[in-house]
Amino acid sequence: MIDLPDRDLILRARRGETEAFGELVRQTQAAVFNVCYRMLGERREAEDLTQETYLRAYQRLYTFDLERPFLPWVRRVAANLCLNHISASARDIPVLDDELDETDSTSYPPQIVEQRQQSENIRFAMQGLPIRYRIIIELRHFQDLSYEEIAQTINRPLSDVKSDLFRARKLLGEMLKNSRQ
Amino acid sequence: MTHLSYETLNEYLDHRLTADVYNQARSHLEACPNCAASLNELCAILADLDSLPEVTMDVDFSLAIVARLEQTPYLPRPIQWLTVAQAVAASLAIILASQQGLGMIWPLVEKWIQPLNLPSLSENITSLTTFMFKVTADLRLSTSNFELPTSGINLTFTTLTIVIISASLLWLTANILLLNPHSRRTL
Repeated sequence: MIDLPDRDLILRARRGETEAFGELVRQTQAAVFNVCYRMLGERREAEDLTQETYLRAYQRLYTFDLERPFLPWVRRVAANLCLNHISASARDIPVLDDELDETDSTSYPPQIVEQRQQSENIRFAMQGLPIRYRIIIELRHFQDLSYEEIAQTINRPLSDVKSDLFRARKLLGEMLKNSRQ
Repeated sequence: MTHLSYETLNEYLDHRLTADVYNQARSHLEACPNCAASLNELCAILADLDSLPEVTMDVDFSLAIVARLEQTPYLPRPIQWLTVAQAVAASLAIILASQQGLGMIWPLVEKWIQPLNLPSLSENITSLTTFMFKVTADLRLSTSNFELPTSGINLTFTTLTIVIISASLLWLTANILLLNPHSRRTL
């Protein structure tokens, strides 16, 4: 159930109070940034797309159902925007910030380093997926949408969503297995 | 023994199977080590995805976004449609105002309205005004036949057309600039 403050903020934003929308951004920007980062794999690009997501969301506030929570809606906007961005730039090649290189791994306990390496492997494997698989993994696993909701969000038949999801999981499993060897 | 398909295993984990099929699959998994191993592999992939931590952000975008929004005022859908309708109306005005446009359209309009035998606009105004004078006769206003006033400015049809087209073009250009998001963004 939606929090009343969210509803109030959205109504105020619809009346043109940009500060109210700014508060919604503050509350949800980390989650939206993570959607973009998982989809794009590059921090700077993810930051740009996060901002674009909110500008797009603001222009489409009239379509938002006040009876539903704001965060899932704006995360879906972000996923779609990233999908369009990758398709438009014709980039389907993995691009990933090598965050482990930016830090001195010797200063962390081995367990932490191992965990971070594991996370990077998963991110790298996700970036290696074709874009149509990546969006489905994002919507199903990270945004917890049903098959029907995914089909509606990306405007594709349910049968395609199911087959792509199953193939994406299979491919991801193989890539993760290879990265561990 | 027929093994469970990869699709069935996925739908089993996603709770997409009907109760009967789900129970059959569960019984099969208890009896079949191959299928149980496949299910475990699938579970491991989902667990890997679940284990992915959220990345922290270095910056707060809210101020930058608010600043950008203040330069791009929120236009509700009805207003957006209204501006589109206005643009269409202005475009029609250009077509109608051009002599060529009139030359194309007027014969058609004339053909449609001819069977109605409508009086001309000036006849309508004259008879309406005469009627008004008659109604107000008891107020001792002098009655006279109405004559169409002249503006005092001698505008030729060509001049009028140029003025209308220029105004419409100016209006369209200004609105395109106002409605185009790229022309409003400064960041």
